[in-house]
Amino acid sequence: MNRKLTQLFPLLILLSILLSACTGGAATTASSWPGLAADQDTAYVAYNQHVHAISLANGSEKWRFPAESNNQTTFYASPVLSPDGQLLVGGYNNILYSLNPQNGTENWSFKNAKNRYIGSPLVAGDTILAPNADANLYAVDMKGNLRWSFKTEDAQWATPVADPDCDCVYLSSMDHSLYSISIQTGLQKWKTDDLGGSLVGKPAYGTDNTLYVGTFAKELLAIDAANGQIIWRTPTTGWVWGGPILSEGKLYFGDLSGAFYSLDASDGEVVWKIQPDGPISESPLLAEESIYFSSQAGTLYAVDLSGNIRWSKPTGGKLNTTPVSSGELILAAPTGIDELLFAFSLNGDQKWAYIPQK
Amino acid sequence: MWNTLIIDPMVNLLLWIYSVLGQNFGLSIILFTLLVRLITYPLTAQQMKSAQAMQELQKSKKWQEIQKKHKGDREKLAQEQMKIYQEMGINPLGSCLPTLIQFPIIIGLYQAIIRALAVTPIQLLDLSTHIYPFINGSNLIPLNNRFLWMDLSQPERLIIFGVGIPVLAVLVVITTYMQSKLMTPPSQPGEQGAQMMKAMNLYMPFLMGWLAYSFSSGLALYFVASNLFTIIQYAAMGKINWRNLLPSGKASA
Repeated sequence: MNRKLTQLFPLLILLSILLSACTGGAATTASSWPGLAADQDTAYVAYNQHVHAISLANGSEKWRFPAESNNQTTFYASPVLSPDGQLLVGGYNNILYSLNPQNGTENWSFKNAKNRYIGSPLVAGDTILAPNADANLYAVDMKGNLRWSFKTEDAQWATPVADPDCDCVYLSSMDHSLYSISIQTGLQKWKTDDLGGSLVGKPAYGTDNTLYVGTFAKELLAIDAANGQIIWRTPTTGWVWGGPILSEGKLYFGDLSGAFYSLDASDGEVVWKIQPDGPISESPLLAEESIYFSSQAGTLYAVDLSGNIRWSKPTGGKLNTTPVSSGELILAAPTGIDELLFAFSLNGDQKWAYIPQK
Repeated sequence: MWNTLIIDPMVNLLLWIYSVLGQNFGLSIILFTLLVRLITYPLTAQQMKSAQAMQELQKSKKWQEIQKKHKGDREKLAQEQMKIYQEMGINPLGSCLPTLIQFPIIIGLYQAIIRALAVTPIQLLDLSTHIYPFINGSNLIPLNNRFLWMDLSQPERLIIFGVGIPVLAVLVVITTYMQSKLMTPPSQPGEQGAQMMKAMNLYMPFLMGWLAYSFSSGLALYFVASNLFTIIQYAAMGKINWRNLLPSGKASA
């Protein structure tokens, strides 16, 4: 009996340590991939305990927010620059911040949410629409005062899309539905039926009054923006995580099986499909007649509009963040390596890499 | 290896139970616990058998004699004890091993709960690659993490008059204490093992309570369910010492 007990004590301690290891570092161990945005001379990367502002000229750090690390404050949602000069970024500490993009000082913060900000906010006119994992879409004015909130049945991870014609936004929810909500009143205009799987990607909105959205049910769907009725649905090989982009009647998107597609927006027919080297979880970027996207295997791809790969660049890390363009640069934010941001030319030449100082 | 053999089967079993139980993750954890208790029943039976054999051995005249004879020579005492174990066909670790089996299950279940609930993008992306093809994961996700008043992905607190009460952690302390007291075998007064067992009976409930207080309530729910099922299992086998719960604290003979 003694032997049993003396062996059990250290094992209990070991169990505590092992369990602690599963969550103890949760605040400092990244629980998502970086959020990325850029203006003409600065990139903003939200990752782990800081929002970093990085000079596009040479990859040097301009400022970081907060200046001191805080285990309770982490950021992963892509920051958003508002027309009136605010940098809006939601945290995993349930707080939406407005920062001065020049120096990273805080303008205001909105603390009503009860869960993480995983999706980026949308600025529509003088209203900030911030989706939250507590299943609420928070509408706040440009000074951070709550106007209304709209609750769905499950978490909201995707940035909504504004439609000025109907003064409404279209919102993806993990409850398997897409919503149309009045920006003025916060009231629901319509809601789709259960689409069979969660929606975590931003919908694409076409001038033909059609919305395009991917789901975890391995489908891309076209939805009538007037009433939420399904127009067509095209099966995919894997879950569709990132939302599609729409250009000249063609949709471009990837799925978690690693396939990248071009569909005809009018009927959902596959125009072309390629299979790069790993799952694709983010929306692509269209810039200068090329489509840029990355795979979880860490490769940044540039393909032409016919699906031919122009170039590919392995980064050595994992890539889940939508690439961002600014001027002649394509920016990619990897995880799993020291570099937090790479800048490539439009031809795929690496210009610089940013490694945050500890 | 750990993922393939432990986590993935647990995650998929939880998801499957979740899908057939009307998408209630709390009930899934409880049923999962029951299945684990049933699957590990042969180990539990072996543990009880070994513990009983050890108790009888320690009461035997031969055992008492070698304790006295080699009191000052621990090495010789160990050798003699091993000899008796071999003679009587007793594995001294026989009662310990089934307990150790619980540890990978607890750690695995904790990871499986966190992975299945997938509250962050990386967790969800990770989950998407571990769902077996016959599970309709896309239809199930996101899992409903609400059970009674709890968010199973978070440490549990019941808010009463603005104060968060860790009800489940308290239940874990009580049921762990009950379980250890009810299953404490009869022992000789003054026996060193009895002293350690007494300390253990005090230490274990608080350790488990601390785990339940600190980690996701899904794990705490597993602890409570596991404790209750164990008590029921032992009771059904007639091995419970109900009198141990009496305030006198005297173990029944």
